[in-house]
Amino acid sequence: MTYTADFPEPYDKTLDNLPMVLMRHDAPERFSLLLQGGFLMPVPEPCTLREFLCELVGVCGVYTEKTIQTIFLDGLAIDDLDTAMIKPGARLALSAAMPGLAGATMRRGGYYRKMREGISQKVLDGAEATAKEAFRLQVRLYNAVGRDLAGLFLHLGILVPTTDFKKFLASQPQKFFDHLHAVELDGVPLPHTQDAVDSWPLPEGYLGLRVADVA
Amino acid sequence: MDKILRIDVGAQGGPKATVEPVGDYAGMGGRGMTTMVVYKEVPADCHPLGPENKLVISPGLMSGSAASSSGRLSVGCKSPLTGTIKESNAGGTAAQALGRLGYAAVILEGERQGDDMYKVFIDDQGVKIEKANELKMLPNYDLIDKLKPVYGEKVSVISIGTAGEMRFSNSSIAVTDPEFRPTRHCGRGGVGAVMGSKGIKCIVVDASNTKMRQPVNPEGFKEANRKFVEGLKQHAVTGQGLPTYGTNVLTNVLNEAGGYPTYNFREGRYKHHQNLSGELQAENMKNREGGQPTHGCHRGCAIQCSGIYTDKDGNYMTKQPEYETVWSHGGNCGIDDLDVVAKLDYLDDNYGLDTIEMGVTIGVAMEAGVIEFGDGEGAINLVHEVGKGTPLGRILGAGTATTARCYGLEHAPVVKGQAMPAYDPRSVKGIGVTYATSTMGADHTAGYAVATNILKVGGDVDPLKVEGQAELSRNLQVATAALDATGYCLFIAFAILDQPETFNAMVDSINQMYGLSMTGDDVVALGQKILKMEQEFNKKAGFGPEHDRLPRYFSREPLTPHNVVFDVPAEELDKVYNF
Repeated sequence: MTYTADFPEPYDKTLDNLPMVLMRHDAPERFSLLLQGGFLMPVPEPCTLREFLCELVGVCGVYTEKTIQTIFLDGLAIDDLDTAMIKPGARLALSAAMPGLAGATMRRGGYYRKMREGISQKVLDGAEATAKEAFRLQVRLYNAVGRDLAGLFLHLGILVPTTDFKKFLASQPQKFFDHLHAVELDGVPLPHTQDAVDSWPLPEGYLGLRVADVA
Repeated sequence: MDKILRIDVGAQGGPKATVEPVGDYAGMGGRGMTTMVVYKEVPADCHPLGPENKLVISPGLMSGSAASSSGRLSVGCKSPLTGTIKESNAGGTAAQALGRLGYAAVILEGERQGDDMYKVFIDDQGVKIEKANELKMLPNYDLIDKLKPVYGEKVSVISIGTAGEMRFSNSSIAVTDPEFRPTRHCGRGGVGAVMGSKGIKCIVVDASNTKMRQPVNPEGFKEANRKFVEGLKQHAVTGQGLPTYGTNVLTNVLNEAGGYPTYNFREGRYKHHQNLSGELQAENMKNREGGQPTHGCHRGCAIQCSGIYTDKDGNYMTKQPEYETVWSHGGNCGIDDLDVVAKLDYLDDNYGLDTIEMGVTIGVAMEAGVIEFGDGEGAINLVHEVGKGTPLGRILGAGTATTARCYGLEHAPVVKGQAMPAYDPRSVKGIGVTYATSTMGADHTAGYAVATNILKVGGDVDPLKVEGQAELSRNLQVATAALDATGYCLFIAFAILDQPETFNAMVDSINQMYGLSMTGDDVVALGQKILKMEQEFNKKAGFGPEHDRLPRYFSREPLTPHNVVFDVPAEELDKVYNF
């Protein structure tokens, strides 16, 4: 199913004060290969997975329950959004339901979850045990979830290594650039044709990326 | 489907065809048929390449009808790879063609006389068998090119490549797809070698003068099939995930779980997984000329999980490689280039090799130092060595276990001689239980996510209790055996697992087709009957509980990143067949 809710206000509009690329692109799902590779996003303090998804990202209700069927936190399969804690150093991956017995085994609360004993998150790690300070969460969005939520996450803004961003752009066909209407680096407009990408003065290290619809 | 075609390859003057009524095998199809024939007619202690073994080819019960996603063709025999009973199935167009011609099975039997190779032609007029030495040692794609001018592109072909002719324990039987390409393979267990041992290069099936099989209750069938298709289309996996990304959508998820065997099962995560993902594969097929990310392996499939994979210039490379293939030739060998994997997939199909067995064998060869991990060109060369039958190729073509023995390695990820598929049993222990106890050797499809919760195989099971792994695996194996008899593709599993109305529609479609009133209990009874025959055959062939084990190093060597070992106790594994 498609994500249809309104996008919330980004928690951190400055994206940790990193150099910021703003792209006006009307097909954010075309960024899904960048999102599957992993990115960071700022989080104000440790919270449960449900709080993260619902309150910070804005993914709530039916979409969370029906589409995000496979979740890993630090490589452990998650069954309960209310006990899984997002903490500094955490790695989160979100996916739709997967085929095969392995897919059924990995599903949240699935009938076959017993078959993944050993890689399921079992204990409730208390939020109070972790300092309440801001951190960067590592996120990966896979398959239909990446496609559906690309616009939302890119609206909120993500932090990506410049090398990954350049590699992603270099791999994109002309069709990607047909949907790209404007690009800015820290407020300075850049040419947005495919052959101009190499001339973008992107800084080394990490950069902030935000994508807005043309409207 | 009321007749059986027997071909005695040892008859005086060349192979002779006899058609007989289905008789005692009535009501059997697919794996049910292959297992029953092998169980009843093949001595369990025979040599798999000897005259006593038989190759049984059988369309599923629903094949040739209008039932969606019912084009699976089963092939059964005693396996040259495992020494156990074997059923291996594939999609493609042949099951539908044989079903429409009324054949419940084609059985190749007897002792081949001389070195001649033969081709078999089956149509509505009967069966013709001709000497075909001009086809000798042709790889599958070349074979199809030779057959095309003679028979056209509307026929279906069941064939072996060079690996089958050389009787390698890793050799498949190819089935042509709707584009008349030999891309669908009964891959596992070396079934191609048994066809090769019978001297049959190919079976051409022409059903162009026939019509779809008619149900006993046409209106009821139409309604059941409509509900069934509706269920497949509305489910997230069969309606969206598989058509969009294919089975390779699993790469990222298994990697995240730390269950993606890498570097010959040494690690559970591959750092370049995103270069092999289904998401990237789908993008390649979408963006490249000639590519097609959504495509059926046979006509009338509502899922369309396959695709056509082209190179950067738009030239055909292969069908969309499956997850297991991308893993075996990719991450397992440290190769992170989808185009190299596609080339390897093509070569496997061309020479007639199982992609899982071949990829895992190359992983073992890499560990032995034959080539380096990550050497894509080297891997391509190794597959050519196999296809051409060089001395090294003959070792590799004998499969993973033999290759490991030849190089003095303990690390052979096999059960009963068959290479493990793409899920590390230390991370996904329930799958490890299935690998260990399946009648077929390590096999992920033996315990698929079929609706055991709906079927309540063996009663209600609490999946959370300690002994749940063995019970779940047993129930899955029973339900899967039954589904393998129907001709329905295993990929319907998710829709029937989650949606009881889709499961009911599937059972009803069989009832309306045959005029039966089968219930879930009957499905369970069929699955149990098939498994019991298989287990009994294996027992007579010398297999006992001690063979239902994973290699010990899976219990000794922890797998990163979770540092888990396979620790399901032997007594748990021994409970799987308590029914």
